[in-house]
Amino acid sequence: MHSVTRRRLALLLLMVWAATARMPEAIAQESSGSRDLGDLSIEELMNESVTSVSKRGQKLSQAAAALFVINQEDIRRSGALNIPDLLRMVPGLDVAQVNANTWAISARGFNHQFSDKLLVLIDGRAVYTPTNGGVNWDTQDVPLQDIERIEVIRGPGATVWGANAVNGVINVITKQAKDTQGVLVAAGGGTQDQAFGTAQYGGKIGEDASYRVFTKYFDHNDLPNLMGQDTNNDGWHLLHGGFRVDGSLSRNDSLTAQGDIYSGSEGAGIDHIASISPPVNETVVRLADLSGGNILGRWNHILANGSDTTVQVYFDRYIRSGPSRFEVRNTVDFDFQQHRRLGFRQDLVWGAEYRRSADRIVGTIDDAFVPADRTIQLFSTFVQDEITLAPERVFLTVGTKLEHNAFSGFELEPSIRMTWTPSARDTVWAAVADADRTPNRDDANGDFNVAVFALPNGAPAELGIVGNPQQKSEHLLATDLGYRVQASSRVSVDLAMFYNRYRRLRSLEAGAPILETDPVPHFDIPLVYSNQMHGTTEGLELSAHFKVTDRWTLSPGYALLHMNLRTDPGSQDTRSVADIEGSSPRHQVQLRSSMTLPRDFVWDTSIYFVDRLPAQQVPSYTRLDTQLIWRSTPRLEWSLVGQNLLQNLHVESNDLATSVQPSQVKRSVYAKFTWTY
Amino acid sequence: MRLSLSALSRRSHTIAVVIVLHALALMWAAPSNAGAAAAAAPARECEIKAAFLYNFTKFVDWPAQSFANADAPIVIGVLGDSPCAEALERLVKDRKVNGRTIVVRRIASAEQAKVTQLLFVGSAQEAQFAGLEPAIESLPVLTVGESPGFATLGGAIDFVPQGDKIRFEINIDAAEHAGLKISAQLQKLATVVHRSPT
Repeated sequence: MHSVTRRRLALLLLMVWAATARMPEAIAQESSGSRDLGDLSIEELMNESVTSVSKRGQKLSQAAAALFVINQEDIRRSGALNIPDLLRMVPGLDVAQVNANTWAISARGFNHQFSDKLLVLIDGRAVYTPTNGGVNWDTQDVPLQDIERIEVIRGPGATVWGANAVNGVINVITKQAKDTQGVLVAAGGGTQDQAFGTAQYGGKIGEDASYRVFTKYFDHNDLPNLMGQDTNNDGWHLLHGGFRVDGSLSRNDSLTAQGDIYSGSEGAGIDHIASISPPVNETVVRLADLSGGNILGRWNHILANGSDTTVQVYFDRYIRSGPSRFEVRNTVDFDFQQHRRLGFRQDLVWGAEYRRSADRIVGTIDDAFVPADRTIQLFSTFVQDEITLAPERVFLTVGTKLEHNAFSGFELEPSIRMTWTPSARDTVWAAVADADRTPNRDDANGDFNVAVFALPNGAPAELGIVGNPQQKSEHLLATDLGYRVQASSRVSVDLAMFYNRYRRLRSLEAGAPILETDPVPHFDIPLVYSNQMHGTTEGLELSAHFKVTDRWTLSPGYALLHMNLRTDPGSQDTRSVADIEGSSPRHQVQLRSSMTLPRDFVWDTSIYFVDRLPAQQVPSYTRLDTQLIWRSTPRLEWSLVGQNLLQNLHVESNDLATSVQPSQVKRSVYAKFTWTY
Repeated sequence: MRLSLSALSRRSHTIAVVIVLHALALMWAAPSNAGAAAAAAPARECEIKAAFLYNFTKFVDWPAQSFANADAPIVIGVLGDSPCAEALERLVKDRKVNGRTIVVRRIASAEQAKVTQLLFVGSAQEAQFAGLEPAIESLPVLTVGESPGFATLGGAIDFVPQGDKIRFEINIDAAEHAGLKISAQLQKLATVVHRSPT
């Protein structure tokens, strides 16, 4: 084992030597495309294209939030094949793979399969499900080459994005159709990602509209369970098709229509109560059929005075048949936003949204919702004003959201943010913001049977978790402070610190045992959701970019998290504090290296250290992923990727509260080509 | 659950080797060529905007008293630290409009702004512009803002992004109030806007 690792490293070393030895020959030859714009007429200038015209708005470096942006180049050079693996590069995000098809992802603590304090949107469509509060990452299969950027905000974003943007917001933004013109075919395979492929075509409709259509498929292998046995049957495959059309109706009106449809299946080991009397708990493997789709339309109208309005409508449907229940959810959402300029110093954004989400959740003995059908509505409105207090130096952003949800009624989520840029190189920012994690179907209507056992007198008993229709929102008051500096043309550093104060966190309180007669006489021992926990968290996230040479960039990152939770007086919950505190790593460290080699090779390596999870008996682990890309012709690119190279197997999550049996993440390699025309 | 804790020391050893590997790569990597500072997409946008500004000067009639003499250059002022100033300096170098050379000046105060023919106000400099606007409002200075809405707020011209193209708006009233004549040809290419109460 040991010698194998060494041989592999020796090989890598040789590769680097061979590649870098030739470097000085290949100093960049600048292609300026030297066309003198000064010789063009106004009409000609009006037809010149720019890659992206910046709209008015603060620069990213001036944002008063802990913002991290993953751009297309980062995506290409990550070697990741799915969004969760991509998110590992964000300092302060905790990405833990539960099994082959399930991830637990959160920011600033509270990680769980359904991290209910992290809001995720894909092109303005919320993929956070109100069933259990969280994201079904297995069906968020955005073609990675079509992503323009992923904006990750750690900390609250509720004023603009709404409830559940408590500890963070992830916005996945795909490219406009005009930027994905032509044919793209990508395919590959490997030890875990056995086979995958994408075919895409982008074209034009007349002068003013572009489109793309794609289809995508992957088949992923099983991962072994905690004992190293291949019994979880958690391999999965998904077939996905989609389109996007962008066009302009007039000089001031642009339209976008996009949609997806997908179908696939996966497996998982789940806990199952085989019999109440005698009490028998077992782990069974169940399959899940996944399908769904969405369609979204967006209209943007620019008003003559520099203001603009956006109207967006989407419909989203998903069906998850298994592993533990059948669920179908249909969501329709209307969103209106207007941006207005109030003089030279102020920018006002306001908006209103209505969402209606209807579900049917058919349960089993293990897992049910009462009632099984429910339609929930969300009304929300927000206003936010960006004010320049001192030109180019001090900016203030104040705003609030007011919303009404079906579970906890009205919620008000104000925030105040300030940016100070003492020089063009430094930015200091601070924010105080309020956010709520609203109850979901699980909190209000869940009815889960966890296990059966025999009482001392021999009578069978069943331990259950029961929803609480009176469950309230979890509340956060967050204080954030950050500093960004472009220390030199080669070094930039971004530091964010936070102090979060939570109230009304979800706890589990013992209910009175009930004698049940169905299907056989037994005692039902319920644990009921309540809001009897509070506490604080604090920590910091540090990321930097260090351009060692023009061809080599190092990006170190570090995140520290300290959680200090308490149950309220009167609470009988003796588990949740330790469970939650011990389920997020205290330290995370990462180092990414991006190297441009001669002869159109690029080589990237990432190392991630994740601290242990005491509540889950998960030891700390270190991941090492590496990718070598070779662009053999301008149209053809080859990549060879190794993931989790340090160890054959490691555990990232072993959360008892997860609905599926955990698996171990396995060392894997894959090869891929991408051909564009 | 069986986890191979014994792998720990081996892992840290491997990580050390990886670090050494990168350090070696650094030694072999080419020495940095300082001139290759990268600034790709926004630079192009600035170059195009600079070309627009240069072109605008051909379509505007300044009153004679706006210039010190017949040979005085056309002064384009760039307010504050706009990243587009350099692109503009490069573009107007060695060019003449109506026999006048063009010079670019960085503007920090109303006094400096008063003696320009054209004042370019970057998106980030608008709040600064608000402070000196009253001082130059009725002087023959063509104010051009980088972001939409600048003209309706009282500027003469602003840029408006439309898809991947750059278009512009003209507030004729503001230009006339400043004593400037903007040729009909330029007006035809622009969206004409008026001052709106905010």
